Amino acid sequence: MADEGGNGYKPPQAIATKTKTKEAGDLSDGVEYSFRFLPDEILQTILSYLPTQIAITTSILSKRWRHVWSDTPCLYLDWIKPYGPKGDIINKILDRYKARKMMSFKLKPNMRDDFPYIDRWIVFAMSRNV
Amino acid sequence: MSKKMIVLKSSEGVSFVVEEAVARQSKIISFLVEEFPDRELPLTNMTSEILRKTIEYCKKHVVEDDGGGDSSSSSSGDLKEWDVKFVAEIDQPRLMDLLMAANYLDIPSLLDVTCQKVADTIAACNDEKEIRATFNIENDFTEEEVEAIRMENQYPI
Repeated sequence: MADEGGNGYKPPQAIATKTKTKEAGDLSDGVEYSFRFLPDEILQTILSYLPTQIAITTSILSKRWRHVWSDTPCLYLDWIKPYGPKGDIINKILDRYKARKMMSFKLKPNMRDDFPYIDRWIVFAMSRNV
Repeated sequence: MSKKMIVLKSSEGVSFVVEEAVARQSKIISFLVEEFPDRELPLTNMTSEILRKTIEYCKKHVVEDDGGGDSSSSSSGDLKEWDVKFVAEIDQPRLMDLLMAANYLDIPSLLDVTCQKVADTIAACNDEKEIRATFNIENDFTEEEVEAIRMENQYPI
């Protein structure tokens, strides 16, 4: 795991002290109790509970979050309302996805429209030993 | 036969006497108990409040090995419901502290349930601004960078 930008884990002590000294509604550095102190693996665990299209939106939060989703060991691709060529979108997402090992890969394709892509997705899943 | 008890000490120096089976749900404590039997275990980076919450969770989740049919033992459905309530009652800063405690002590089920709650909170936010505000994440991108990522992320949902 790349350790960019000083994302190393710090024990909860520092955070506990900070939350105690914060002022209500104060958004300054003193209340930065959250993700800063957690390793990327934990952020990935959190994102693995979300559908991938929501997980991707976290890439806009900050530099720390920029690529977390793409290393999350789970993909969950399910569009409730297909809009446009869904297979293309899934392929674009897979192109951006970087994790080498995966725990799960859930995909609900539209069998009629996505038929030409199925082979690629199976090869993708096999390449990640899902 | 009395159950073996161990003592955990919080950062404020408060001692918590806990059944060994309860504390052993933490893989770290399990290891320490083997290495240092009959010793008080100082958890210098956990406040009493968070340690108390963690113990409460472990007590509920302890599996009775002796088949004693403890009246507190719960079915998995009840336990799931209890977990949901347990994290629902915790405010945001303490949820993060508890998540970090679960990570530090290596209690996989507590880590799962706190991560799930954080994921639910993210999913409930309307936009990235709300997520940043909820978790105090500083936006360190330039406006141009934000726009570029927004373009990249344009997938119809």
